[in-house]
Amino acid sequence: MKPLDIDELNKIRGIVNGHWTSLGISTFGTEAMGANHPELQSLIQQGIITQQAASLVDPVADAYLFGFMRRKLEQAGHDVLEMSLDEFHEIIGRDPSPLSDAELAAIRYAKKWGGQYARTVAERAAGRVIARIQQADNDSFVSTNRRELIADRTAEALQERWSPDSLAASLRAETGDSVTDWERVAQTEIQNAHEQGVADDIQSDYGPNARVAKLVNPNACKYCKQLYLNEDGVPKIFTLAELRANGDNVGKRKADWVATLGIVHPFCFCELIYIPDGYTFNDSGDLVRIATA
Amino acid sequence: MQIEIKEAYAGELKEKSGQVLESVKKMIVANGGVVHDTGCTCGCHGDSMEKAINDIQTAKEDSPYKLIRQIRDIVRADAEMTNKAAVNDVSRYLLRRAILNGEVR
Repeated sequence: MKPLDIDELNKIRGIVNGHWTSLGISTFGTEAMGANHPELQSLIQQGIITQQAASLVDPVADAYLFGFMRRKLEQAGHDVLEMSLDEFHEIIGRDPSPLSDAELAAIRYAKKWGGQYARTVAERAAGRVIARIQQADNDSFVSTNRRELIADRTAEALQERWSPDSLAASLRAETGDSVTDWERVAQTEIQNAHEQGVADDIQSDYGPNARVAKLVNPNACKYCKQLYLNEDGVPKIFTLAELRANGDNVGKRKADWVATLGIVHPFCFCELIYIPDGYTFNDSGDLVRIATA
Repeated sequence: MQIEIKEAYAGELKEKSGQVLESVKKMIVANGGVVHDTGCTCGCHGDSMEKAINDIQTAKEDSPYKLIRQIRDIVRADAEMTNKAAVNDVSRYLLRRAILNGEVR
């Protein structure tokens, strides 16, 4: 096997990157992925993505909207726990609830954030493929030299190594982590958009100082339990403003993590809830009316 | 291709029936997609497709917010198919290169 030159490696990098960028575009949108017009046109010409792909499914906006509309839907008598995506779209279409500029900005921000991570996944996927090919390249070279020594060089050996089936299977095994990377990014950003939607809806109804808490799953990590529960396991009550001011935990050490409006860490599924004035949690963690003297 | 698959999955998520699953598979094969049925001899093994379908089938009703979970399922299935498509395209590129270089006969 003739060693791959820089142009060929770049071509391979472009193939892989193109596919993952397309997935990023159809999940987070063209703008979020920073895909300029020529790049998008090139992906369309290659048949990797179609013009309509970016608009068919919009997970981040859907998640934000769902968070934003959840309480309203429940108040209108809809069972959100049993609602399908199609039903959600149908209800929203029937009774549109225009978003403010700030809320639309929140969606754009969530998409941009997701797009940034999606770019990283695309580059990492390309890197994994290149690394695997270079290793196969090297193995092939070694194998060829050995065969020359015993004067038994056959193209079949190379064909076996580079056959579409064996190479594709090998590459897929090596790049399986890219799917996991993507799942982490997509799930995390979608959950974060959902939580931001919930927070913005609470703020639009009750203002920035509305009282909130996080529902922590029983199997949540110790960090979320420390941040959102007191020593007796009862949810702590914050204000929206307090959590918003904490920002996020991106790039921080675990010891420095703080309670946030959105997710604390990737795959965090703690959920923000509104605590009406006059209510608190009892020792069992149930929401109860504060007793008056 | 991604659009058709998404539409198919959206339909499956709504209907959740065996017939829909079968039609999804047939449609993907008919469209010459990179994800084929189990037993395909092209080397793809149909494994990711099976897994994606299993993921959707096991999307239980105990999820607190099924809608978000449905979106995640679509995203996950897309990622598996994207990886497969990328790898297949790279394999094709390398094979074409090897043929042009006279390394494969």
